[in-house]
Amino acid sequence: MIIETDGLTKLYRTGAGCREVSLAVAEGQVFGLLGPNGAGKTTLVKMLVGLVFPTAGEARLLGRPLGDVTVRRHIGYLPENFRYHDWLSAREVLRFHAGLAGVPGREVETRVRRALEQAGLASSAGHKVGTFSKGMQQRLGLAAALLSDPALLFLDEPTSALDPLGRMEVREIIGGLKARGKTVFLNSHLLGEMELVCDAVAIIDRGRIAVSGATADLLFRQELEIEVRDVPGETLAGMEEKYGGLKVTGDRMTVAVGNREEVPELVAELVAAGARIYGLRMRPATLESLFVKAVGKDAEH
Amino acid sequence: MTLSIREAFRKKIFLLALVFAVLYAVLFGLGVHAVAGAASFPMQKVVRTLIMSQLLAVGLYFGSLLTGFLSIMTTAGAIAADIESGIMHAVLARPVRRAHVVLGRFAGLCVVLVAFAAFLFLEIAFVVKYIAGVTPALWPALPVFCLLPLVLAALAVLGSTVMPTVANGALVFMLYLLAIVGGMVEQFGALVGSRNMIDTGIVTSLVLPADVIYRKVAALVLSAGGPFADTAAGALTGNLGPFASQSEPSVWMMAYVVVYVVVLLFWATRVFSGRDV
Repeated sequence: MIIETDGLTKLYRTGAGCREVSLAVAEGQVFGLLGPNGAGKTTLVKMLVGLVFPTAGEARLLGRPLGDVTVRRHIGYLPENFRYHDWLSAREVLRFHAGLAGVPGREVETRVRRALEQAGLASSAGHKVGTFSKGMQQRLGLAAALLSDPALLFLDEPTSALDPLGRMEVREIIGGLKARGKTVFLNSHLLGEMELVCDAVAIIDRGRIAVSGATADLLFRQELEIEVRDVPGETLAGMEEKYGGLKVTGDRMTVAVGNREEVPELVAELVAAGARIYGLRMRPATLESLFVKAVGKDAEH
Repeated sequence: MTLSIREAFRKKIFLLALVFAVLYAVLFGLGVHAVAGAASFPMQKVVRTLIMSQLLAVGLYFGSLLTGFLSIMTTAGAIAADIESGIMHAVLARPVRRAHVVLGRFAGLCVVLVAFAAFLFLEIAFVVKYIAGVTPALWPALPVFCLLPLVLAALAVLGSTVMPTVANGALVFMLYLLAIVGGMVEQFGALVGSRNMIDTGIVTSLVLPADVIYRKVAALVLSAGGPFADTAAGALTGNLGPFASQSEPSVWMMAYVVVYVVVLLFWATRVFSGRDV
């Protein structure tokens, strides 16, 4: 595992932070961390990159314990609330960061040029950062994160300031990194995008991990909506036990099913119990439905 | 470190400071020129020596104030401003030790501030030499004068690791004023022989040894052995007037200044290495 956390906890005086976060991210994965505002996503990332110190628990990055400065040679990080020296040009910012990242002197110019091209900033390389739009600054942040060709990348809301085309480009960059065996830890609110790129996700709510697993496994479960009457109480209890996620509102009943083959079986059970079925509709699960279920509709998003 | 130096040049901080220093020298030179021209006949030689020494002391005193204010303004946000703006987040995620970030910022800013202090001191010396014909002793007064930005920068960098820029700047500024007032109280205490007043000054100098640096410079420039030593008024100049040094700070106090800078920097690296960003 490239990232392993065990009971990682950070409690601020306000009570906010993360509690007992235990995660494992495999090498080469694109991992997504989701959660409402103030859930502790950024705190977790800040602990992993060494900006914030945990109050309890431990973690290992690339097999090394938290706080090991040398491991950061292999890490790229795009912070959520970032800024770069606005009196420097984009190229100068990247040269500065190449020096900090320990990029060998003879490779600096090549790496800087490549990172600028990857982030779509080649034509603005000589412009002062102070003249950049928020979107261009985000591209520069991405270029800085990619600069040292890291094995592990932390991207905190990497597309929040980008237009749809920019978001697509970032998705392509992440896809390219994955193809090269890099690991990407992604923090984002954009559930649709996370669904497209993440191999695994975790949903964090009020500092605790509420759901985690491979995206395919989590989205495998689908919802079956049934318009039905006269379902005996013991049949409902049995279905809840067997399928889970049962919800009844008037004549509408929704139940979670693992795959399509379970549908005829479920319908046969209802009919055998004397229920009258008027309609059926399959609703595929999405990260959004998973998120709403895990966090609750009343949470602040 | 180099980034801090480049920042001072790119943002034109150093250029503006130099322009201001030149304006200050012009103003100072006009005053010295007027006094030198007025004191022309022999009977006024004693008075002229006294006035020249006082003018030199005034030049150095306000020069040290300028250096002090510039030092506080440029270093109050050395660490805090980069945290507040978000620049530090990307920097600290790199394989760099936080202690190196603190020391690098301090060193870079101090190179600029010491260069400014030296320039200011030399132009005051230049004005006095070429307009009044008096050659102030540069050694060891010049390096002692250059200690002031180091002391203030060390304190401001320490504060900057724990406080926001504005709060830190205000605190260091108030401490600097306290040190100046404490230094004056000590000088008057020496003049009237009040032990309590002297002790008050010593305590403020221990809290922030800033005024004590100017007093040492004044003592080195004005006292016996200085440029006025061979005149009839020479014996008086070292301890005359509000800008002179009634009691010269000891070598031990100067050693304390150096230890003070080292301890504060060490403290700053420890604090910053353990804080959340």
